[in-house]
Amino acid sequence: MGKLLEYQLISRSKQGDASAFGALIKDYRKQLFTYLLKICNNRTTAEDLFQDTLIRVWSGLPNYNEQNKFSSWLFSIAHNTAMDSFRRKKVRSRVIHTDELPEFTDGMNPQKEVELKETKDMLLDAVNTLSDKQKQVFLLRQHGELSFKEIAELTEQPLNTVLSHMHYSVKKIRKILREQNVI
Amino acid sequence: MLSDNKDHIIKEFEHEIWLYLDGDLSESRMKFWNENIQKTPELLDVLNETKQVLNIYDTAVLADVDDRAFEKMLNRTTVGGSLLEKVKRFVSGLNSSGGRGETNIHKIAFVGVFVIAAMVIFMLTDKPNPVKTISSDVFDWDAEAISEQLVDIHNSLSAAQNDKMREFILYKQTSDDWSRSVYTIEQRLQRLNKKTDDKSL
Repeated sequence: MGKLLEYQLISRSKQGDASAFGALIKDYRKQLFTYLLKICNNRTTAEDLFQDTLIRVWSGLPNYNEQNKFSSWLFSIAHNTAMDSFRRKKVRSRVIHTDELPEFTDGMNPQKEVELKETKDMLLDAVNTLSDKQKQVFLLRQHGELSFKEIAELTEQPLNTVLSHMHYSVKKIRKILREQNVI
Repeated sequence: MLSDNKDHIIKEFEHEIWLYLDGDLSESRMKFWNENIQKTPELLDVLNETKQVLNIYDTAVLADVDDRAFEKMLNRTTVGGSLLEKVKRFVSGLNSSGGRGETNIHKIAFVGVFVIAAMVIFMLTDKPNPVKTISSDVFDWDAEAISEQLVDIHNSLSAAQNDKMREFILYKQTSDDWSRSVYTIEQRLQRLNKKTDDKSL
């Protein structure tokens, strides 16, 4: 979505235009849902968190400052919603396995589907071995498109720590992909 | 020596690559890395491989919520959430500084609602009775019977005082009857005293 169109949708959403809000969120829908799904461990929980996030975003729009990147603001809310939920339920985040993920193959040939599923499994296993903080940094970066400075602020960690978390996470994933000859 | 230097620069780039990808380094530092990436194939490999790993991850593990579920969530948000939003906007209007007339109206309306609610609650709730409850035994006074007995006693006394023995006999008051009557009255008076306080009397 172009920046101008996004700005217009935000402006209309602030005035209570529900269809503009829907169009705005639709652009981030997959990334937002994937982030919540991977951080919380369960599809039903992810849908609840997704709903809670939408409500917080909708009700918080009057206070949104257009100077800030919308995706960063959106994913900050998603992250805080998830963390609040974990604090209440004291549930450790775990990346769920592919059995719990819907098939997202867009009509690929069967061999490709199998390869993709294997790659998914490997990647999720790799992410599962990360610590909670490493996982948060990695997922916020990959799905939230937050800058590392924003992630550092959101997770209340020093920038160098966040960079180390990301470096370690990618190193782990790279190692697994190399072992499986994917790269 | 050159190799050590190269290893060192690769390690340095591996640490700064994330800020480089974000464009969050200073202009001079960005220029430094751009030049070195051109000169050093190993740095280009690190950059390309990192991008590749992240691309593979992104394409392999993207998930989505069901279309119908998404539409339902949006409806619940914008319809259910709008009420919450209106309340929040109303409350945030109270805190906002600036001399807009709408803010004053909000404040007056907010205070007014509270006052009305407090009055309604006050009127609807039972108030405590300031007068202490009098025991129902007080009303077990049997005033008529006591009055009759008092009249009997009075007549007996009068008859006795006036030495009108016949009248005395007519009332059939023996000394036992008299004692019983006086005793009954005394008992009732004692019970009455115990169960009522001075105020209620």
